[in-house]
Amino acid sequence: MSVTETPRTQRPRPESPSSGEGSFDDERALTERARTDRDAFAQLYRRHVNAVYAFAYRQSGSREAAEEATSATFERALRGIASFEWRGGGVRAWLFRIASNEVTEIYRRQSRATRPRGQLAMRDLAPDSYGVEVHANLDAGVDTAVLHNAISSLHPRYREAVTLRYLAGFSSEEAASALGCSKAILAVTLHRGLSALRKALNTHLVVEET
Amino acid sequence: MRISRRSLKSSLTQLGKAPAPDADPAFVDRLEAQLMTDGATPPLPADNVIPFRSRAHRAFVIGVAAATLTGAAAAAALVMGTGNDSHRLITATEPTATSTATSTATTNTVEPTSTTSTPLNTTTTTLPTSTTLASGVTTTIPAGPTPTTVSNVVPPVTVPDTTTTTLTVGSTSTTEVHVPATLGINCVVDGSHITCIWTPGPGGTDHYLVLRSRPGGTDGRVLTPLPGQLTYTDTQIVSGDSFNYLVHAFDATGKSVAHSTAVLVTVP
Repeated sequence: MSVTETPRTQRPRPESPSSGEGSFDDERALTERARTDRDAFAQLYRRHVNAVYAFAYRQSGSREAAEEATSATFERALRGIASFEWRGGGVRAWLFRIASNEVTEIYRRQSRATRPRGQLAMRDLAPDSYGVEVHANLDAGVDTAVLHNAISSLHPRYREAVTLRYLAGFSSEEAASALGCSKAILAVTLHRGLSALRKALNTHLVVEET
Repeated sequence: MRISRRSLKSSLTQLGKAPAPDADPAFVDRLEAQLMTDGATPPLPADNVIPFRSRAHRAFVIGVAAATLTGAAAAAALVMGTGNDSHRLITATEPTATSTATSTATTNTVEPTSTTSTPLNTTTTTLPTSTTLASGVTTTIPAGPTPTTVSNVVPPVTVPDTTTTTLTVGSTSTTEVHVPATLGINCVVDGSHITCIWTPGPGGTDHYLVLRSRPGGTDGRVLTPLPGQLTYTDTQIVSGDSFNYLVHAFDATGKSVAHSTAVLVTVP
C-alpha cells in the first residue's frame, strides 16, 4: 500500500471568494444583504451551490444524497442566515458545516431502516438508491462506502473538523477559523476525530473478517 | 488488517480530491425557484420590524425615510425585505457597520407651490400650591423641578404641496406622489426623555409614524406611537444627544395624508 502525504503547500484549497467570485468584502456585504433580501440570498446560492453539492457528494458518494443534502442545506441557511455570524471561511465554511450535518442525517435515517451490514449490502445491490456510486479502494484499502459510513458515525465536532480539513480541503487556519477555535484546539480535535474514525473502521474490518 | 493513522489521512485526502460532478442544472434551477418562492422567510428581529398595511404604505414610508434621513448611514438604517416580506420595514437599532443599504431614494422632486403651516398654540396652566385632604388637613405641594430645556413651538414653516418620491430597490422602482397637509410638531426635553407632540392630521388620519435621526442622517429609526395618540415619548436618549424628529400621518389604507418638517432637539 502506498502512502503518499501531500505537501501542505500543495494541498487543494477551497475555492476562495477572492478567486474570481468577488472579494471577501463583497461576500460579506452580500451576506449582510441576504439576511433580509431574498435576491441577495439567491446570489449567494448561485455562488456556492456547486461547491456545496460537490462537498456533499464527496461525503456521501451519492448524487441523490448530495442533492437532498444540498436542498436541506440551503433551506436551513435561508432560515438561519439572519443569525449567521461571520467567521473565517465565510459563508462557504458555514454551508459546508450544515451540509456535513445533513449528510449525516441522511445516513442516520437510512441506518434506522437497515442495520449497517445490511445497509452496505443494499448499497452494493442498489447503488442508485442513495448508494455510493464510486466504489474505490483508497490507499488504506478502505472501501469508500465504509469510509462514508464511518465519517457519519463520528461525533459532530469531530466530523466537522475532519470533513472541513480533508474533504473540503481547508487549510488548518481556515478550518480553525471556521470552527471558531485555535489551530491547537483544531489539531487536538482532528487527532481525536481520526482516532475515532480509525476505531470505527478497524471495528468494521474486524467484523467483516470474522 | 488494521488501518494506520497515516494511511487514513491519505485516504481522506484522496477522497477529498476525488472528482465530484457539478450539480444538475435542472436541480439547481428547481431548488432556487423553491427557495425564492416558498414561505421560508428569513426570520427578522421582532423588535426591528414594523408591519405595514399595504405595499404602497411600505414604499412610501421607506421613500420618505430615505429622502429625509440623508446620508449613507441613514440609508443603512433602512433594510427592506423582498418577496413575502414585502410588507415590512426594518430599521437598524444602531448605526452599525453591519447594516447594509438596500433602498435608495433616487429622485425627490419638489413642486414650486407651497403651503404655510400654523404654529402650535401654547397655554400656561398654573398649578395649585396646596390641597386639602378629606381629613381636613391642608398639605402643601412642593414645587416640581423646572424643565431643563424646552424647544419652543415650531415656527411657521413652508413645505411643498406636492412631493414626488421615486424609490428604487433592486430592479424595482416605486413612485409615490402625495399632497400632504402640514403637521405642527413640538418636542420637549425633560430630563431622561424627549416628548414629541403634534397637531392632529386631517380627516381620515388613522395613525402616525415618527422618524428620528441624528443630524447628518445617522442612527435613523422609525418610532411607532400608539394608535390615535398625538404624542410619543422617546426614552432612548442620553445627555448630549441631538436628534431630528419628523412625524407622518397615514390613513387606514396606509396612504400618507400629512407630515411635519424636521425638528432638531438637543439634550442638555
